[in-house]
Amino acid sequence: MSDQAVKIFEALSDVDEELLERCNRKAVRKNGTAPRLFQAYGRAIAAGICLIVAGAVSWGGYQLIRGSSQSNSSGGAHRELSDMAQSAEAAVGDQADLNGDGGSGNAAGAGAEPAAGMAEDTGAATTDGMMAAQESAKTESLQGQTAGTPAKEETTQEGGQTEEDKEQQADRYADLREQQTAQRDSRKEISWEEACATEPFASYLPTVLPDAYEAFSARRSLSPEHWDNLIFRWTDGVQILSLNMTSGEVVTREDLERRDGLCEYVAEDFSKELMPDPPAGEPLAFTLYYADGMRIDFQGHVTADEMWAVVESIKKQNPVQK
Amino acid sequence: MRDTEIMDLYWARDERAIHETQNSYGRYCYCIAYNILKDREDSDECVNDTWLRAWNAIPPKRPERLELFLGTITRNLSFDKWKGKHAMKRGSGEITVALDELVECVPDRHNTEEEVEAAELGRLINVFLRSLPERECNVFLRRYWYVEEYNEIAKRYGLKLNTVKTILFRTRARLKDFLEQEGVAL
Repeated sequence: MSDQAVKIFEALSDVDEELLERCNRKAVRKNGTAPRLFQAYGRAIAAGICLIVAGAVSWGGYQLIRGSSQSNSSGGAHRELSDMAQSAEAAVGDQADLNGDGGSGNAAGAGAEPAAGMAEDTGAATTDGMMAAQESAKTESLQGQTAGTPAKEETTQEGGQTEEDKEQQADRYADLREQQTAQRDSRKEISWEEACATEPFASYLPTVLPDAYEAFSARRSLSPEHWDNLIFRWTDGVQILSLNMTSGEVVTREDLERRDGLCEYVAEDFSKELMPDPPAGEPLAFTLYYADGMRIDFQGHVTADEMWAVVESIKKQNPVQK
Repeated sequence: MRDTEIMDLYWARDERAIHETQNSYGRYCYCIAYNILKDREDSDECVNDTWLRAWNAIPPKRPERLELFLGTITRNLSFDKWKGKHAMKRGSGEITVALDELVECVPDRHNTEEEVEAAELGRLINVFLRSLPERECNVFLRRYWYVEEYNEIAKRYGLKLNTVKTILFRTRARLKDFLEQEGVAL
């Protein structure tokens, strides 16, 4: 505490009554029934939607298999599965919305995008369709983030599209799918030694780990024009701690504010106070952006103290240059 | 009873004004005092002093928003009491934490030319708050005007705890930048 803080606190006494009244008024409205219901049952609603989607996709797959075995025209079932995949992708987008703030917010637009061709491989298992939809949402979210442009913008432009726009959009999605496939194909297990020697990731390896955690695996995904990604995983035999590192464009504080992404911070701003408080049973997860363009997604069932020690040990190796 | 009716009682020098004010705004003022002082007796004392101040101020004053008028008196009285109690030693409670956080908003002295008066600081803070999005402004005021805890604010606005932390962190950083740009020295 300092005299300066006291001065600011006292100066706040002169704040416009209009602003104070507004913050009281908002409180009344926000305490209404709907937000409370959503707060209380948000997870249940999300789980319900997941079940419905899983059921719908399974039913679609069952219909497809039955249709094939009866040597019916596969056109109808094909269309049906395609529709299912579309609804699955839309639901994934909705789920991302339900998840609220966080990085998932950027996936909101992806869910609303058409999923043409999602079910082209009629032989694929239905769960693959679901996973593909999720991957698609994730990849498109990633694209939005990489470009520093919220994916939501794309959604808002969908109304009033011409045929030409639709074709261009379809082409774009085809490109994205190709990139997604390329990312999947390029992801491979590499030896821990190799991973620890791979720059620029090696210098971001923590020197402190939670008790009993040991090296578990490393997976690399490289697309020279788009991303360079390395996932380090440690385990204590039960839980996993992962640091998903992506080397890319520099993301600034202003970028994050524009994106309004929560649990995302510029590394030099991050402090223990900002460590998220995950609900019981959920992993502690957040993202830090470093000055050289390194993005690290931290995730693990560890305590805030343990995770902070990990973050601190990385900071020591990469001191912030102000 | 409506504010206008309570005000009429004050202007008529009718002592029921204090009773009605207590009924309407007692809890509101007590919460403000308690958030700062974290002490029941001290909070009660500040609230009672608030009624006395209001009685002495009205008339001639006729505040447009009685709730905020009373709340401001309570806040100032409570903070003065808190400062008195903690003049010699560092205290505890939410007010200490809130003040510690506000230190982040203070620009480095060497970056500025001259000090500004407290009134100017108040004006600048108003300008700053008006420049904020509504949600950020509301959260900031709940924290640093009402001295509410993070989880109370989160509950009030239906936000996640971490969202509140993030909003406050970013707003403090912005306030610091703003005050530096304005050449404020404290």
